[in-house]
Amino acid sequence: MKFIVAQVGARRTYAVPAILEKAGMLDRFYTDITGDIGLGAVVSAAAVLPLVGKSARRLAARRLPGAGHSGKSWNA
Amino acid sequence: MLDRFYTDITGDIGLGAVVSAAAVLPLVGKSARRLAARRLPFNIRAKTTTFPGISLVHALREAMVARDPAAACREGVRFSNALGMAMTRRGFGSATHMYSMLGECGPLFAEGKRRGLVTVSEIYVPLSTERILTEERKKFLGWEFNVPDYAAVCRGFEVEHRLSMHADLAICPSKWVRDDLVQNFGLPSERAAVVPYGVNPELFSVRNEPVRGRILFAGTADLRKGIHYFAAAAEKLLVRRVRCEFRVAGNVERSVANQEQCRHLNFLGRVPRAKIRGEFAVADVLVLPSLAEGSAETTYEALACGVPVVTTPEAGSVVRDGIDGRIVPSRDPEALANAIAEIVEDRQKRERMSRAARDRAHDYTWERYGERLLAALRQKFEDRP
Repeated sequence: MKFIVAQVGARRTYAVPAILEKAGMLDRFYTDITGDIGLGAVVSAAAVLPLVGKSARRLAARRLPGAGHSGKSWNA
Repeated sequence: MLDRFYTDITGDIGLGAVVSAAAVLPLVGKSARRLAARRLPFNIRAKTTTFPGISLVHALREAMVARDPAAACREGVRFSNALGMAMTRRGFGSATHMYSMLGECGPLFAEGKRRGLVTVSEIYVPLSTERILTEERKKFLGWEFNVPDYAAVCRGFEVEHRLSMHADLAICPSKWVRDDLVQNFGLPSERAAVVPYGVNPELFSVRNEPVRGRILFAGTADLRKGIHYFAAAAEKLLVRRVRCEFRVAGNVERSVANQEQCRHLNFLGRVPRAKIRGEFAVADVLVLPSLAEGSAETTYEALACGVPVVTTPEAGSVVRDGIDGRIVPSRDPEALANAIAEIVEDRQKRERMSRAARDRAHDYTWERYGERLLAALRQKFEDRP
């Protein structure tokens, strides 16, 4: 009896796949995103970066004069 | 006179515009912190595949339709379907069985079934929930607005109810969920098993020193959880001069909080997990007059903290009537008020129930949940590959 488990979100802290693995019954586990592997780990790391949240809002407030831009500015 | 202007970064052109746009997205800040809290148990990391691209696109799309409940619901179904298709492309490995939650990721479930895998679906909420709530909203007009027509949203997608009925085994967190499946959806009873949830054993360390008459309602304050019956019971108790404070710890819509009937309720809003322990520590009784739950986890938490529970059969709890709380009929504020008064006014009974509640919770830890889940799977499938 080998299980593939599919679940969206961290329902009950991933109890079902963890229980099946402990019993030697987990073949693979599919889930949407987690905070500790792959791209999810990168995104969640951003939670502690100063760019996120307050700083992003500060950046949003940095506007060049005029509605548009002249085409003479470059971001390095 | 300006030929060109060099600067580090601005919020309105180039990459800076992209980053600053993110300031208004839900993924940023709070949601990123929520994601960071999603940690896999170490033992399953090597066997886990995630689909972050689809998930991040979903987060953006969800943010764009946040003010349109029907569109948000449709996006949720689309997301689940897209995930299922991506999971199907990743394959089934050497699995012989499949476990999914209420038909989530439908295409994976359907393809697994087609390939002959044995399928298990966890039915974490009764399938009659939408019907029950539709009827309740008709009786209590003005309490909930902009509720999407879930059945209409799901048309064209391989989702929940239909797929769950094809599962070889339905794991139900309560007898109430199993009975609903068998009686209202025709699932043969031998294809359903009851596996109650568990509680975090850390809650056993919460010392309950109740403030007499401090009545706690924990969960979203909506019709599904019976906030309107809680409000009606509060009114009855105050008329009878039973001294109580009615505290509601959970999200609440303005359309509910502003109801005249709710004037005796103290809405605390969403209470973080760490702080809810403080509420349990001083609660005299937990009340959950729910109309439809799989098995309300807040009832397990209250038991673990030694708080007697007054609830309904539809909450799917493990509370024993008259031992660690009271089970009263749903939609009956009189019975609800009587049960609350019975516990608040008889301190010896309240003390007995408190002790029994903790004892009861010790049999419903997550460890015991695991044992029960494996036992149900083995009992059903032990003779199959």
